[in-house]
Amino acid sequence: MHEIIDKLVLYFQFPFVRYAMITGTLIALCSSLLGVTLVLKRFSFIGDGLSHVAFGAIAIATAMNLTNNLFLVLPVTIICAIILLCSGQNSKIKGDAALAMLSVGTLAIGYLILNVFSSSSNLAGDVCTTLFGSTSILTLSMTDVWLSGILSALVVVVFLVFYHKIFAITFDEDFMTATGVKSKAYNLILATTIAIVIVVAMNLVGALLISALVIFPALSAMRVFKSFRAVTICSVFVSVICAALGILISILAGTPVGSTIVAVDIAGFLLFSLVGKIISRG
Amino acid sequence: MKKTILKFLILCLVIIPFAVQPITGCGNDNHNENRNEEAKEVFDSTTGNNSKSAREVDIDLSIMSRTMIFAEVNNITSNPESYLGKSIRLKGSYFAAYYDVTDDYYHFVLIEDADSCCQQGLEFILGDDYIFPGDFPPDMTEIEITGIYSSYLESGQTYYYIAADVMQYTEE
Amino acid sequence: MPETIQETLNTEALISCQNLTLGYEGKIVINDLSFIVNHGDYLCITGQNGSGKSTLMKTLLGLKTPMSGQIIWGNGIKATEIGYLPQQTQIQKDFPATVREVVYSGLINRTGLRPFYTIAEKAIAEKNMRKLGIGSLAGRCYRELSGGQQQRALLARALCATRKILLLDEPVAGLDPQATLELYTIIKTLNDEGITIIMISHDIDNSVSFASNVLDIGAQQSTDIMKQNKE
Repeated sequence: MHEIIDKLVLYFQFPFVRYAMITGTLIALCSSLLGVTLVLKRFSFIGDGLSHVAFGAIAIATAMNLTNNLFLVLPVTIICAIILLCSGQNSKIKGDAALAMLSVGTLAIGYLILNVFSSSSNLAGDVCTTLFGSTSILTLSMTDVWLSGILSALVVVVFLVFYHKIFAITFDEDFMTATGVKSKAYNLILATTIAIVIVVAMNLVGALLISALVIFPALSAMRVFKSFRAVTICSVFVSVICAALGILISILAGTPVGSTIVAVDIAGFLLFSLVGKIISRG
Repeated sequence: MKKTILKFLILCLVIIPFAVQPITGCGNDNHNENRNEEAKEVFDSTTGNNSKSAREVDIDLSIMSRTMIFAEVNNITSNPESYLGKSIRLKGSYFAAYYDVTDDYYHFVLIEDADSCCQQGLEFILGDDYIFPGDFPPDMTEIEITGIYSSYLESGQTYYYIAADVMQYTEE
Repeated sequence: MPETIQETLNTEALISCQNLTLGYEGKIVINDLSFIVNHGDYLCITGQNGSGKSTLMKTLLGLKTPMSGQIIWGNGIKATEIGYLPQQTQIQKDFPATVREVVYSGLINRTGLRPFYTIAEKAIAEKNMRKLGIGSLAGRCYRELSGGQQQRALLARALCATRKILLLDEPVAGLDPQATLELYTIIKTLNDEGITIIMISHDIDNSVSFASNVLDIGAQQSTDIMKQNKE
């Protein structure tokens, strides 16, 4: 145990490790907040779908040689989020089919574009990094940390201010519209927030693993707690602790950061399921 | 409310032993690895002794995990100016590349990231006593380099490298 | 004997529907429907499956737009003064929320942009829960309640959203006879206190005995209101 503490002290001398911990926990916090709503609205796979859209946008941005791809990726992802979340029951193509089409289509086209247009020397590596987020969280600059910090603060504020509305449109959107509440506007705010969180979270775990970051903490919390408020708070705690643990374990053991965080999330979920079973029987 | 607090306490009691276990487990593995390596015969090309160089370096990447090494090397290659003059120790795969324009061989230490999907390399240059290929191991041999991060000018480009005084590797 | 629309048009109606044609994707479900709902009415909408009852209710609530015709809301009633008890979805039956959280969500049309509930608003919700007999269940998890209790929680929520009118979509669907009778009695009590009720129900016997007016969709293409004489 002593050796681990020593090693961690050594590692924390490096600024990029500190940045990774700060950003990682902030991203975990935001995605877990929104994860509760998404899971309950049966949109668990939206993290996947939107991150693939973001991947496609990154591919196009790379092909167009844009210096900062965020200017293309963020608007495109937000628009897709709005289309997916706000179509409701009126769409001809039901929610999950639309999501699947978008998810697979953008991934394929993105990879195609990168292959045809990119001048990168290590294409497979670039794609791998974007999809799995190997060490991107450990190669952040101070600017990245500030950006993540500001976005996270924004997400938390939005969530706190609109907490009751978010609960209401998750539980019963029809009721809200029928009783005169502007649920379409709140849906829009929710969709935009989710898109922003996913684009930022891609840096942490990569596009393929984002769904895990969004859904596992929420599902874990729901195994044990019974009120929406308790589930939300527990989900945040679980997500932050699992992300921090995941980052620490991956830098100690030399494992990929994204997969390690997800593995810790899974372990957390199993633990909570066990506790939930014990409590319900007791 | 009481039930919620009780649930929270039970959770903490259950989680903490689980959380501590894997971390202690990992630490033991790393420690055993280091001991095994020291037991192997180490071929020191400068002195021919079976001793590992125990000098203090500014950045010792040889004792870090793959994830950390890759990230730090990425930082070095992204901001090379800020690392000039620092002493670095690095372990990786040896690789020699021939460049026909200068009719010369360039020597690299390659490292992979944890997913093994990305590779990075740092160039190193040993003293003039080293003749290629005789004094160098075959490609992809695991080597350890210690030296000062420096730069040189060639064909109008600035190149960064480790001015290594020690190269250690295990004889196959 | 049914009264005609002409006679009732002169009075100040709460809702006046004129020549409504409803449908979706080009298919007409209800053709040229006109009727009036007055203050304090207890209107029961019946009809066979697929006759368009839910579509009519959703159109009244503004969730769907009519293909033609108009709905006129009189007496200055605002969109934020309507209470609605929709049919439950599977998502809701499994939702992790306390009864209190569910009922409080009915207050949102009063809060506007304010991110919290005032003490006065919370008092309204507590009063409604007690009125419907679920005060003791306030801290319980919603998904652990029985069907009848869940309906009462949703009714309490609908009450929080309104002071004037309640629209209910098959409120007793899936409930046992006792819970059904209890719910009908509660709804009648609310009507006696002055709240206008519009309810969709399959249960013709019970609903007709409680209601003041019955609208049977599908009985005729163009229907007038049939007033029923009560003993």
